[in-house]
Amino acid sequence: MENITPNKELFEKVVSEHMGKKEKDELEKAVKALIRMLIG
Amino acid sequence: MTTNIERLYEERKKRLDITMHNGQADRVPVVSMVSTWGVYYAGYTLKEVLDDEEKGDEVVEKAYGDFYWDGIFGNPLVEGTDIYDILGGGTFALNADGMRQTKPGSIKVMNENEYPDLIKDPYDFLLNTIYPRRYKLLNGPYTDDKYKEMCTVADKIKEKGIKYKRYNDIAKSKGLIVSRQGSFFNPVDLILDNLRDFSGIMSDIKRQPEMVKEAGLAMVQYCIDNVEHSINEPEPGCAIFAPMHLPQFLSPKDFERVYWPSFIKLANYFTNKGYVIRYYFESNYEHLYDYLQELPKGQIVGLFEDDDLRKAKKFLGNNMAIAGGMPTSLLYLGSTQECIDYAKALIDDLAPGGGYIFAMNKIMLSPTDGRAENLKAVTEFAHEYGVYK
Repeated sequence: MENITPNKELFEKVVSEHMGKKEKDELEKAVKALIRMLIG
Repeated sequence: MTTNIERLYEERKKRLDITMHNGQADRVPVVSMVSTWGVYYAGYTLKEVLDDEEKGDEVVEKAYGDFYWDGIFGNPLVEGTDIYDILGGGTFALNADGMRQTKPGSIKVMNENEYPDLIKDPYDFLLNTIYPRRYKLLNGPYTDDKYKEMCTVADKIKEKGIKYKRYNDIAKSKGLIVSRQGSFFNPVDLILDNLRDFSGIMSDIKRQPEMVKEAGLAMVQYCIDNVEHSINEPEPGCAIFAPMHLPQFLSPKDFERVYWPSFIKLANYFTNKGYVIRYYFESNYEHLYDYLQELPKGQIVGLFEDDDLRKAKKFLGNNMAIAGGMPTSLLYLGSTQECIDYAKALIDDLAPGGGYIFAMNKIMLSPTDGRAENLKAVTEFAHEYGVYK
């Protein structure tokens, strides 16, 4: 089973509930985009 | 767009597209590298424009409208630290003028023994190892307050995208080509700029070069995701922008060993899909021309900073279009006639056969990156003079 870390839980909730990306593939892509945007 | 603007737009798009594929168009394209210089030119300070949409739009209107351009490589976007203030960290701060400056000591958040974790899963490593170190908000357990703060961060990122789009619409309304279609940093530059800092990565390259190389390769998909998230199909007259930072400091041997594998993989990936890549070769790349000659032909634009462009054209001109050449220092310190003479010599030497884009040698950031009357004179001159007969 996948390990849900606090940050993963947080990012998935923001993307799913706030940004409205519910579908699995769409949600995963949006979470990755959010991760990339915060690199710097 | 009016019919006349539409016609100009189509002409310029064709001009840029042919040139970026290393061909000869009707004229030498003239492209803007005006960034925050445009704010000072409009009579404001960066801080005045930061949170003022109206002033920001006025800056863009003037930067795009007061000079002759066929297209723009970037825009005068002023960015604050609001997102990073909420996150409680980050790698830069604003100086007294409102310009972004790297915060000393803020980059090196990855340890030298953590390459295997980065290689295993870059996204997981960033989210769960790096970000808790970089941002106070992302350290510790989930809370509802954190959720609210992160929603604000997501909203602010969205606002930034809307601002970019508005600036691009202003360019289009003037018949200018926004010649930038997505962007990425090469993987080893991502490690330099965001994870290990200069001293860290230079030490890693000597002590564990295989790890640096493998980490670069592990981040290729990350870079592809970054571009493909924002664009769909290659657009004529546009290129993916890729500024390059580390290679200017690397020997050819180290470049080949650690940087090249992920660099060429990305170059091949995007050019195979029909995209043009515009590399910004910051500082000097002459020591690496043998490698750059192996880049895919006709789909690369080399925007050079300090290289001798005549030499670059001689060694790389069969492979890539060359952009840049007009020194910002001359635009500031020289007379108008000196600037025009310099521009004429660039066009005389670099335009024959096509594949040359007239632009500044550096992104124009501060007021000392050029005087407006000189910029106006050389851009108009380059447009008038750079005709293929």
